[in-house]
Amino acid sequence: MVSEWIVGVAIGAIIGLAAGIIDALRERWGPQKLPQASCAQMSETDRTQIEATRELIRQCFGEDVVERLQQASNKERIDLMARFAEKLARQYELDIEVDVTVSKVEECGAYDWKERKAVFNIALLMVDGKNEHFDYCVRETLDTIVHELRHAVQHQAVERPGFWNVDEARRLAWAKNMAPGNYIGPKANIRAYAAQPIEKDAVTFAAMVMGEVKEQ
Amino acid sequence: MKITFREFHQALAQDGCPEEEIRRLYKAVKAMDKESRGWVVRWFCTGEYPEREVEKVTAEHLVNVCGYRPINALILLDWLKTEPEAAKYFAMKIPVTLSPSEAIGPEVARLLEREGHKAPSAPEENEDLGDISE
Repeated sequence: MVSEWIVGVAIGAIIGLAAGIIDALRERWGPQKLPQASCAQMSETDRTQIEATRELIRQCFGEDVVERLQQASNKERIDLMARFAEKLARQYELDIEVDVTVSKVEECGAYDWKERKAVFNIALLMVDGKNEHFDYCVRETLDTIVHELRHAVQHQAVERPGFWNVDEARRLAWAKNMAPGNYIGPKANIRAYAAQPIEKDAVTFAAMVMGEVKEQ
Repeated sequence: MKITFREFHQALAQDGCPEEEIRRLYKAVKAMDKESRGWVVRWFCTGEYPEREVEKVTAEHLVNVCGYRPINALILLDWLKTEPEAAKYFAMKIPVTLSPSEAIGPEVARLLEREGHKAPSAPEENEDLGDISE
């Protein structure tokens, strides 16, 4: 369900904050792809779901997501993203709640492991479609939705052996990563965060959906 | 200049850093090459960031503009030296920090036990981690 309070959000402040965070690195580095050497292994089921996710993006937004969203009002953008996130959760057979909201831009979304709820913040899309970073904002929002729902897949796979045909070695690695004291946050050590099994897997899955893996 | 684990621990614990995180960070710093280790030791002892620019960014930029914690900024700078493409890809994501270990860790540990697996423990508190020199 879309939160109604978004009407009152200070859009100018969000744009400024988003631009600050993005500009700081993006203008120095430009668009980046995930090198294959940093990718997790994907199974046949994963690859099928990656293709199905791409197809769902086409169904929900047409051939050109950026153009579709550029032409949409803020309200339409929220509705489109909410519908996409809900359909994707159903496609992934996830027994979770999905919510789309607009909040502070530092967090694009999260999977709440305890409440089994994915909350997506689409503040990045509350910018003028002509903004030079709009393409990045769209890609980052979609990437976050796919990434966080992949965490929900990992959660269900740990609890239900056989879910998504996840093999036992990978299921065990995910479970150990989720055990007390073993998860490393990005604010503590970004390199260790990227290397741990559940993040490496979720980042790879989302990057493959978004076509952001650099072939080597 | 050098840092003892005791000094490192004390400083990070005062900032509210959890025990296992302090130990993991210390090990991460020890595993860096000599130059990067030197950056951490110098920052720890004097508060100064290295002037060295890696992939067009400095540690100071990462802290003051991008909001990185100092040690994490130095870890990213070190990573940019060795794996620039991967480091940039991750640095440009807007990460979320809900920890499964905190939210569902105990129930996952019980599940692992029921299945006959041992949940890996966080770094040992009694482990001697030695000093870090420039």
